Amino acid sequence: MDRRYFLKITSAGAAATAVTTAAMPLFSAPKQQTGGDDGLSDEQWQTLDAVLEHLFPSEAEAPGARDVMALHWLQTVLLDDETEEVHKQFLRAGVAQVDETSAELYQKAFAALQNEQREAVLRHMEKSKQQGRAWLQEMIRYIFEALLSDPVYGGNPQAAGWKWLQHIPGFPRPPKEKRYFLL
Amino acid sequence: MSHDFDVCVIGSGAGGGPVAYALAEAGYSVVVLEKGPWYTEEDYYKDELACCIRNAYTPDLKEQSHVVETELDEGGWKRRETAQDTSWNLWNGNVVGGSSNFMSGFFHRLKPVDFKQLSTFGPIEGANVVDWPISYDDLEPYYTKVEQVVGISGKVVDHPHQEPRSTADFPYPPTAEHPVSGLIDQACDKLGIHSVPMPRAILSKPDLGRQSCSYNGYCGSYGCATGAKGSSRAALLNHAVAGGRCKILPDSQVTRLQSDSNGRITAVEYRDKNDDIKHVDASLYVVACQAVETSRLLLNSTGEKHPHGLANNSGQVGKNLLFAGGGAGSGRLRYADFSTEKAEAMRQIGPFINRSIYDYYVIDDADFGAKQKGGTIDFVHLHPNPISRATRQMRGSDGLLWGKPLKRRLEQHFRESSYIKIEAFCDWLPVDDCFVSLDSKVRDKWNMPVAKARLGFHVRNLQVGWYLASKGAEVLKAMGAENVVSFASGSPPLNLMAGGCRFGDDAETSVLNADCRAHDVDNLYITDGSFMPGAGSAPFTWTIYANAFRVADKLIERLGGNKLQHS
Repeated sequence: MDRRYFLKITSAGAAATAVTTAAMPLFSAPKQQTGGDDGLSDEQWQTLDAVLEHLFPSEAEAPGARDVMALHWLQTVLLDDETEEVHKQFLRAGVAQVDETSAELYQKAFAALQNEQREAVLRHMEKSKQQGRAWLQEMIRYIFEALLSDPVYGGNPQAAGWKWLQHIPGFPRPPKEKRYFLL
Repeated sequence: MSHDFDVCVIGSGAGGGPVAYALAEAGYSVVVLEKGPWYTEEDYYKDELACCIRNAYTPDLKEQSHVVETELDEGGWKRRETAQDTSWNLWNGNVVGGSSNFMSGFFHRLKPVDFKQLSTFGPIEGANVVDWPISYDDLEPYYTKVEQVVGISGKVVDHPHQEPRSTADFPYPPTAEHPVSGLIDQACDKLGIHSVPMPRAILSKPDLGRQSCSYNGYCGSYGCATGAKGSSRAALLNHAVAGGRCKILPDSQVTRLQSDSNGRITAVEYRDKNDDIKHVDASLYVVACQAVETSRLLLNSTGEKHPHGLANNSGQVGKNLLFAGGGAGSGRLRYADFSTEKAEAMRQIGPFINRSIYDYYVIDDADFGAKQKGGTIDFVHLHPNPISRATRQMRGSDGLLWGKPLKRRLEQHFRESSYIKIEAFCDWLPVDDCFVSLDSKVRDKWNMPVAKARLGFHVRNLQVGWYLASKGAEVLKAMGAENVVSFASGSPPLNLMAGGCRFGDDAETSVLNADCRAHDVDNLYITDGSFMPGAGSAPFTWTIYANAFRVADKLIERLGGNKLQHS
């Protein structure tokens, strides 16, 4: 488990923006406590963090991937026993592909690149790499899960995503003990 | 001979609920086997992850899946295993009450013409169109019973395609309406067509031991937290159980119907929650597992007199599988085009649009060809699920959209407009290339072959779907909507299935007789949508409910009449 880097960036994100003043949410806590290996190195977590932030950057008036705990969300997916192994492999392979593409184009790790270079790497992946587009699409989809699902799951802190988009949620909303994996 | 129960019902959805309710009410003992868990109002929340992304109400596809075959443009069939290709998931809600828990409750009766399409319009090449062995008049009393027992809200208005009714109006007034409904009415007036209030299986006031709708805006795909939605569970099974004569066995997967040397069913074999093999028997058996699974269960239930599967001696089980054919469309109403006050009203989430057009139920349009069966056009709000809506915004004109451009698009999509959808329903014509069989490779976790569904379709579905959708689009344009699009597709809506065990008078070309009893199994009835030999041009649920109540009366008669009235 690479919680060190993970905790570091989560708290950094919280300090940097006004929308995430909440404490670390307990997304899927029962499962996370069982431990396990998410299969990514510290460096790869940094890569993924930079990718998510590039795909959905933080802005003063609009939350970004860091503000909605998207990285945490993906870690939970990777630690979840219910996630199919083949899907976990797909998620990890995409992270590796980002750094490979980055090395190929700029001889650097993705996290060390400038904004335009990051854009070029991800566009190159989208257009030219096997599964590149599918992986990017899945990253954006997971960002949306973190942005727009009920805060009880640990993303969308203080309903920041809903508030930003003026979205009105339905009621009753799920209490902690009725999250889908506890039904 | 003594049995565990008078009647054993397999499947607790819209086909099983009415039988359990009516038989228990008539004094008979009923057991209902449901493969899924028993959730109540206490378990249903407006949780998009649960209903629609992590699929909490359907089986794990790694353990229980299907195979589908779709037609390739170049000919031939593409095999897809749903365990891998999850977008073709054929499960629709495996919980007590079945997928009726998750319906929108857009309720339409079939119309008299649906029962005699062959004699009215003649044959269609490549389609197995037949007249039904019953008429609209046979079903009408049961449509009315559903209005009263399940609780349907609506308002009868005069229009050219209004079907005959034995009562003047619905027992419940329409549910609250959104300002868009008035815009549709005005546009239809302008176009000279009839905008008709759509009946809903939703209580508009507390009654029947249930609460009224809470108008929270999240209805279809979600379990109802108030009990207002007329699911088989809330409207029927809860009452049946409370009466003391109906027992529900949740988490019970039926694997086989065992039959004797006379071809009659002797017992149901099922797996309980602990995967232990159990048996139960009854005088009469009712199968209602939703079309694909009903056919699969019969095909898996071979016996001495049924070497090719139960009730399949004419090879008809699984044939003529149906879906809801049709087209779709949408348009955008920009808040900026309305006064501040009106725009505020338009932003409301909760009240329903509830509008349908039946003017094209029969299409009499020389430009379109000979007079023929058309269908229904419904107007609905875009589903409010935010993750699904956001996900559809990431496609740009030149690849994926991300970064700030994606964020601006989300802001525009969510904040600036209301979206109205058209859902057009036409007949899914019965064809030889749309059927259920057993897959030879994939098995479920109990080692039973899974169902394989070939999903071929008749080109007429597309033609009529396009026609109806474009008529709906004209209404959206007349309302001042922007970005109006309409289209039809040959891909079936996997949540609206019927057929596979059609009823008819000829045992060679049908599985069930007019009473929905299997031609060659004396104690087997089928009461889900499987019996339908034609799809009609509307969602099936009201018709399934009504027919199941009709068949329930046949069962009561056969068992000796209403026991409580006689006593």
